[in-house]
Amino acid sequence: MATLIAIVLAAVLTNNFITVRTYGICPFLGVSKKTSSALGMGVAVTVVMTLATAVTYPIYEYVMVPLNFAFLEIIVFIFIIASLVQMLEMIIRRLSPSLYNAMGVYLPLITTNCAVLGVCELVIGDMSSIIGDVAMNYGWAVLYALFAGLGFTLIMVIMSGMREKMNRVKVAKYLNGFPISMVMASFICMAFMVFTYIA
Amino acid sequence: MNAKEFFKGTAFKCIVVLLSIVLICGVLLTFANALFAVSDQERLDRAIADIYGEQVEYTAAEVDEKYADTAAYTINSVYVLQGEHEGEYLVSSTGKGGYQNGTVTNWVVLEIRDGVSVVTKISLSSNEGQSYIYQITDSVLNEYISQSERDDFEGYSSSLITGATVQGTLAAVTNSLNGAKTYVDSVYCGLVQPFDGYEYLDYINRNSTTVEVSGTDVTYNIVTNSNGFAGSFEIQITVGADGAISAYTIVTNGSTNGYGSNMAEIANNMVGETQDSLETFFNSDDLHTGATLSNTLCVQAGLFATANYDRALADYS
Amino acid sequence: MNKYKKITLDGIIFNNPTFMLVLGTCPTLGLISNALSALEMGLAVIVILTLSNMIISALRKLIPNEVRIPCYIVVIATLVTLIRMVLDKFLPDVYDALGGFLALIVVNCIILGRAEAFANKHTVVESAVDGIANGIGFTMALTVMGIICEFLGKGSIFGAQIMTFSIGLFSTPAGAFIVFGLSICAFTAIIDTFQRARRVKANKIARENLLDEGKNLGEVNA
Repeated sequence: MATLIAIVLAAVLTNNFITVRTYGICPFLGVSKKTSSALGMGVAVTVVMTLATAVTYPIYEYVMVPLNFAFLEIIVFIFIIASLVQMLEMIIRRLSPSLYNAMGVYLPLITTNCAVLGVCELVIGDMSSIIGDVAMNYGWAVLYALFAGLGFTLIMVIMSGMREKMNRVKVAKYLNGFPISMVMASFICMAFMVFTYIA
Repeated sequence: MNAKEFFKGTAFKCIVVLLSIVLICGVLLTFANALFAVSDQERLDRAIADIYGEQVEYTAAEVDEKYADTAAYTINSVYVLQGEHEGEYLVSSTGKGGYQNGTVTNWVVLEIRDGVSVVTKISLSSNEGQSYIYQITDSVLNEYISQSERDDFEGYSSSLITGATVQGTLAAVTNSLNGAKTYVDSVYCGLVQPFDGYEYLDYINRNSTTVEVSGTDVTYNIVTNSNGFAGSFEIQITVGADGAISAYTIVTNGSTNGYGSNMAEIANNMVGETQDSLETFFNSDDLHTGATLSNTLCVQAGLFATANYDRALADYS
Repeated sequence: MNKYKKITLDGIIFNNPTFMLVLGTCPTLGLISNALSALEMGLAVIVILTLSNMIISALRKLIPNEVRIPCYIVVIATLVTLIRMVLDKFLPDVYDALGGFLALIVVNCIILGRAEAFANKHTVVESAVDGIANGIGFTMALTVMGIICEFLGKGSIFGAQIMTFSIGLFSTPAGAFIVFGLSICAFTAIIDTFQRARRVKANKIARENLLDEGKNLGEVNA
């Protein structure tokens, strides 16, 4: 139970992918103009992160490491993620057109999202600085990926809310667009900095 | 679509090109891996070079099992330095009894001065569950180093270290340093540790503990190691001819605030206990009260005193 | 020669991948708290971007359009793995400093973006120039912001202590976001002013030419 709480808190708050690790910034800045699209992107990223970890972690631990080709991890991981995204897109389109309309459009963008490859690389590496002395296993790895994705979604939604308000304000010419978004992102990071040391 | 069309079509070309690129890249990387793989020996060299800030020559020494594993520390590996740093020993030592029963592993460099080992460098290498390890700053480590250079140095005690307020983690660091020093003292300086051959030494600070004999009474002034939240205790215990405790006084209470009063009660209960009754108590559930860690130290001190009555009487009278 | 000059200027200034296109933001924000690691990241990207551009450009006639993205990704992933091995073997300090962001070069949008937008339509030499130019643009942006962040955050530049003060915020992602945002703002403002000045000058010359012509015409008419 304590481990569960430690992992959830680390993934969502103290080691949030956006505010602390700065993974997945492209969709964070690109797809956060409206809350609905930010939420869709966040959920899509969460699903892919969880599935990708669920597939890559056992392949790395139980196939690549014993067979001594762990050095191919980057190629194998990115390939798995790309095929996973492709498959997910086809399945969603077939099963639920409405879900596809809500979320499917974000899927192709996710292959090259650092957050997905980032979480796969993270859980196979040394996690002691993030979640302490928890011995990593399959269950914890997938759980960490899921909550890291939810932490990502949380920040996406907060950011989109701020940007929706910002749209009604006149901003200085050169500050408009990315610069003002980044300054706002900085404020979110500052707010989340208070969580850094509770783990 | 028949087979012939398939082989001429785009789909086939796509598969062939993709597969051949993957294959070529895979083969290329396999060769590169064979060429650039970093061996474990190289990683060890780097870790050691990091501690010294330069490449050094060393040979690995076999760890002497007799001194390597106690309740307070484990010695993982020992390296004997050569060349410029000849006479120095590099010990990887894991101190136990940290915060939430976690551990801290350190690289400790020791050199032998006047027949006794002195800690000259400390480098934190890893820990288990010590989230406040960042409080163990360089200045804290330097305090450890300067302590060992004092003339009246008798082993480290975490209560003497200032600068960090994390008792548990500090206890593990202290245990790890004491372990490294004890190991080098015993194996390379040929120093016989005090109380060699005595029982129940796991929680006892052997350097600081003293014994006096008057008649058939043996009075121990026992200093314990730290144990997690519980800091080092100093306890005076007198054992009479019947092998039972006749006086038990806690001189320095290492308990965290709030548990201190419980300990006074324990001191009263200890009078009259023998080795057998303490052993039964130690292995029973009654030990696990709110202050289990401190309890353990107090009972272990009692066990040390009662179990070694005959030896102490012979050695110190 | 003018062609290469244009590619170079586009890559470094007018289409600067960091400031103008805002690509590759993750390693930028993650590493600019330290000028040295920012520079090291930039150099790694220059090498990978140049090589990947050259390889993809060389293979552009061979790779079918349908599977081009997977092929590019495999090539880039191979290069990243190679660089990672070489750094781990020969420059372990750099390897440690870049940490997780080294593997994430694979999904750096700049590299895939240049492959898709440039290398698969141009010759090997042009692609190489484009790779180097974009890489330099990225490296310059990272290094400049790295110097600003490190100076404000620790009072040092490239590890050399210049003043003894520190604003802890600038060593965190929050400070990185602010510096990045304001740098984009400053860069676009400078480029814009520069281009407007150039346009004004060009207009002025054109108008003078026109006036001269008019005068000549007038003289002829008269």
